[in-house]
Amino acid sequence: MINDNIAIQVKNVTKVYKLFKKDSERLKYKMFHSKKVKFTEKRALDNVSFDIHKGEAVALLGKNGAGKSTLLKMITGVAYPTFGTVRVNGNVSALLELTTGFDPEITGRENIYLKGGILGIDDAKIKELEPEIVEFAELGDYIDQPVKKYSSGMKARLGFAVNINLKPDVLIVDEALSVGDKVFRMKCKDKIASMIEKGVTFLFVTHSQSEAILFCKRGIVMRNGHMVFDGPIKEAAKYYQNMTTGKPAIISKEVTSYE
Amino acid sequence: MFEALREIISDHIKYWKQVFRLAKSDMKKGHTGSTLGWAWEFASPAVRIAVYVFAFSIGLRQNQPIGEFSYFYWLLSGIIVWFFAQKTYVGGAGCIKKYKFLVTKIKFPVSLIPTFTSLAQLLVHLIIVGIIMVIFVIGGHFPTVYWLQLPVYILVNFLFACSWGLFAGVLSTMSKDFQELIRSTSMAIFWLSGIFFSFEQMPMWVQIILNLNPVAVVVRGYRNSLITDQWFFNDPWLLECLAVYIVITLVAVKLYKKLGKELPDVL
Repeated sequence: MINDNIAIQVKNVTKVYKLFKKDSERLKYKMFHSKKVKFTEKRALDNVSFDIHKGEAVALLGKNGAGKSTLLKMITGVAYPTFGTVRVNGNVSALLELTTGFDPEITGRENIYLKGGILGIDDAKIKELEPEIVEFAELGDYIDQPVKKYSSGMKARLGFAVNINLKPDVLIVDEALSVGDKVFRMKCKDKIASMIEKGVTFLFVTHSQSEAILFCKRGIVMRNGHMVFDGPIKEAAKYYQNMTTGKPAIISKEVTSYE
Repeated sequence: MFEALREIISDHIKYWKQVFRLAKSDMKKGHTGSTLGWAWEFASPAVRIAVYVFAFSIGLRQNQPIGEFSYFYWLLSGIIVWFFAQKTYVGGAGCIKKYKFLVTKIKFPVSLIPTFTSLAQLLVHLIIVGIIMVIFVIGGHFPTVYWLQLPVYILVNFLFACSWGLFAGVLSTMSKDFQELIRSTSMAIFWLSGIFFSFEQMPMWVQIILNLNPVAVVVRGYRNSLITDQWFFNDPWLLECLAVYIVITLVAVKLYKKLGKELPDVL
């Protein structure tokens, strides 16, 4: 078991995506280990290890294709490492690629209950939280429309509202702040800041260094699937800055094709 | 293998509340926005039953009874299985794709998806069975001791739908061809399941093949319970059907174990 103080433990994690020409070839390979099947291997993450303590706020920095999203997916529990282990203490609420896992066919309000139910929260408790979530999302009448009718900004707003109000132990936000307007972003920032104060473990992917510095004390810089820096946020931001502008980073074609 | 089976069962125990909640939402969502809403769930079977009764019972058979039984009730007792079977046969193959967000966005055991989609269908099915029972009573076919078998058949039918959903859901997520195969064979399963005719006069080898279709055995089971008054242990094909069921369940578990962790990468 992992130490009680550790919220997330990533240990020697490697993720290899196998790219097949056809779905049927993947099936053949997986079921019969057929050696005839050709595929190309893409390494999205290469031997990454770090621990995140409870209550820590960590920013993940890196260019597109550096492996940030893959990492977040594994921490959320919706992707599995090829080698190594990912362990998480407590329940995770994640905003991956803007949505938090909504059923597009049912209304926003029903989705609040569904999502809460999936997380194991009973209806009475959700009913208590509902007004706060609805108010925070600022969807107006759209709250009773199917989620498929939402714009990406609306989805992100609802996702954000649901995720932070269901009181997770670990909050993961993947670039979700970039879609809202300024007012909403300010509101989210305040909310996140207060949650961090209350001791939530926060993991944040962003391209905005000012936002990263605002919330986080620690920064991890990823590049081509490797962790190249782990330390205080200001140094991490500087490192990332140098990496992107100073010397031109070598990005192989292999890794850029993931995200 | 057994480890995977144990994992699936323990996930079901751990998440049973969520299964019911998702089944409820699955049932609701098909009809949101339509004025009649839920009524459509029954309107479509009603229309189909009416058409089949007209075409077969009146059109083809001129109301001749089948053996000592009225063809109308004979047909009715078998066809109720089909609406459930069709929804879970074709729907089972698409269930994981339909609930993609549960695989790629939320940490949720994939093996529960076929269970709650089947459960949603089961609730609709129970209501249809109830309506048909009322029709039987109105027509003078009063409940007998054989009706007591019906809940057992319903339960087995449901469990089979869950296994099938896991088997077909995982496979069709990995291979589009498989999903197409299911869609196109759905008709064959329907017409060859003995809903419209009895297998009894056919050559042995034909009977062996036709009884590989689990729907056929369940159709006969419903019929034996409701109208022809036979006990399930008198069905000579019960063991064959059970074997098919076990094989599909074991393959489903095996597939889930081998491919379960690949699913989020594929979807």
